[in-house]
Amino acid sequence: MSDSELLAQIKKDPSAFRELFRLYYKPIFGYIFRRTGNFDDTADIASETFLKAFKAIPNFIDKGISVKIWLYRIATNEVNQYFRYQKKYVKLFERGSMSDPELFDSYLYEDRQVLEKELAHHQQFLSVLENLKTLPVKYQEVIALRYFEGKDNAEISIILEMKEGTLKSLLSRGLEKLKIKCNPVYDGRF
Amino acid sequence: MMEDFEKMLSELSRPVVGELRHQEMLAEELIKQKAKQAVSFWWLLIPIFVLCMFVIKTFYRKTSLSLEIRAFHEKQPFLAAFLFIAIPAFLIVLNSFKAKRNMLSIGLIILSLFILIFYLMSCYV
Repeated sequence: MSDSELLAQIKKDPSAFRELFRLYYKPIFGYIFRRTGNFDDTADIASETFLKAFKAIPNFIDKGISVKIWLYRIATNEVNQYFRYQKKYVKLFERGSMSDPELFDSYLYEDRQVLEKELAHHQQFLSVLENLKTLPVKYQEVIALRYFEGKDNAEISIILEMKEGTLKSLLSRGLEKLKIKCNPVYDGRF
Repeated sequence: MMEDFEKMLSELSRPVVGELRHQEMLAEELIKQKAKQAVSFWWLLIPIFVLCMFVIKTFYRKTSLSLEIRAFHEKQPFLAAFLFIAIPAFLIVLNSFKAKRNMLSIGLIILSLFILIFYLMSCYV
């Protein structure tokens, strides 16, 4: 099923949102996790991202971008808000009337354990991330998309809705700043 | 040196997200929340209706809505035409030409049509 077919299906029958969730929740969750390095914040931001996307689907106008890119865009805005204002999200899990909150909490607990263990195996990544988080958000987003997510310049410029020239100069300045921050950690070997 | 740093970043091993056990329940919860929000919007029509009634009541007091609208029309013809013709007509046109119609725009078209017809029937039939 193509993206436009899936969106049309969701407009007709909102329960088809499960399919979009199945396809894209994991990659978007991963992206947010690699930007925040914190499971609980990631869970909140990811749920907010998908809730916003779900609400926006009836008004989604196909501008030739894929759903995945669109979700990356929403997620990036949410993460940026989180960094800029240390926005505290009202937890979805507290707002909703979960059918089985204890089961949901236990699933979250298991996922947190697994991902915290996974994060601990990547100390070098963590050091870079901690330094990256001290930079202004405009540098964080381009560096994270380029080096943590492996996106090319064309994709990043679509996600961030900016010209490639602007992107290149942000990347170059951001890398210089990050290198200076990483200097005590980075000795050229890693 | 900058090339080395870029190379290091590109080759940096990153945490990977595997299966997420909470994913399915969260999807169900989001679908449930969306459905709840869609339903709750319609409850807004009740206070809007009550508010309209109060507006009419402040200008004229009679027993039936139709008579009240007619009296309001006689007392304040321009304001009545603005409230019961111009605004509903504007909402109908606006929502009819929207590229993507949703439940909200369809609801507004129906409500505006109802107000418009009711006003015309009360005043001119």
